[in-house]
Amino acid sequence: MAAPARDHGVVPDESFDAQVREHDGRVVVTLRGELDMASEADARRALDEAERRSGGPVLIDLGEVTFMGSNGLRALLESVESLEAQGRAAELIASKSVEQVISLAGLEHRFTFRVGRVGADSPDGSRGPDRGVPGPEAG
Amino acid sequence: MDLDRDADDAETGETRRTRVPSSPLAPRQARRWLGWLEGYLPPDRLDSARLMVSELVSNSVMHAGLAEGDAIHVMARADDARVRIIVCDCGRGFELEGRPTRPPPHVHGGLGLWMVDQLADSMKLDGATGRVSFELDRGTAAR
Repeated sequence: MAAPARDHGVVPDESFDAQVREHDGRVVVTLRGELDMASEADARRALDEAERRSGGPVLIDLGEVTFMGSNGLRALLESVESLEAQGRAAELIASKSVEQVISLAGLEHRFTFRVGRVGADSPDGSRGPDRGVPGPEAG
Repeated sequence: MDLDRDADDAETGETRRTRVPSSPLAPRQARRWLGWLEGYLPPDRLDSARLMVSELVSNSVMHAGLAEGDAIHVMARADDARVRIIVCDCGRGFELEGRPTRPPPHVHGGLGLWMVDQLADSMKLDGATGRVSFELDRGTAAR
């Protein structure tokens, strides 16, 4: 039997980053890293700030999210529903990890996915609830 | 903490155990700890294992009635055929009849255990002790 593994110490919080800015008439929320219980509060603050910034559309960029669990999915879903209740468009850029969890939860129809990154020279490839397979730029 | 009561009498492969203190960081610590399984699972299955352990540890932190810093036990055993992972918190336990059901889309939360059941090749629940174990076949194609 292998020796018991050492317990890990505190994991530094460089594992997550949240930014909110405006670009091309939209509010862009960019989340990077691991979206889990530890970072859920920061993610929610960023999403709430995006709602407060303006009354226009919002792009939630999770293209560099390396992990998302059900905590993050819940925050994401609540934010999108809140925006839609206000009549605001909400688009999502999803990494492979994010797409897999959304698909596993059977919630693809609840999001409008955007192919391509903010500021990238790519066509406006928004995909609504009947979206097909994501393009190579996503994730 | 007896995490091995479902183990075969002849122990093969590699077994490791850890305790993560209950806190919002516990799921992340548990995911990190699973890194040693890189030699036993392909990347996509290891990602699934990390997601499942993260969900189970999150449930322990949120629902087991643990105080900050209380131990959440994680054990993983890898042999030639499969990886078995056990998460146990010895908290207030939980009640569940039958297999987890997918919560309705408008109900936020409750997805964690259902997702584990969807991803695992097999899963066992012991609500009385807050013990959940699941297995991933090493040779199965990625989910």
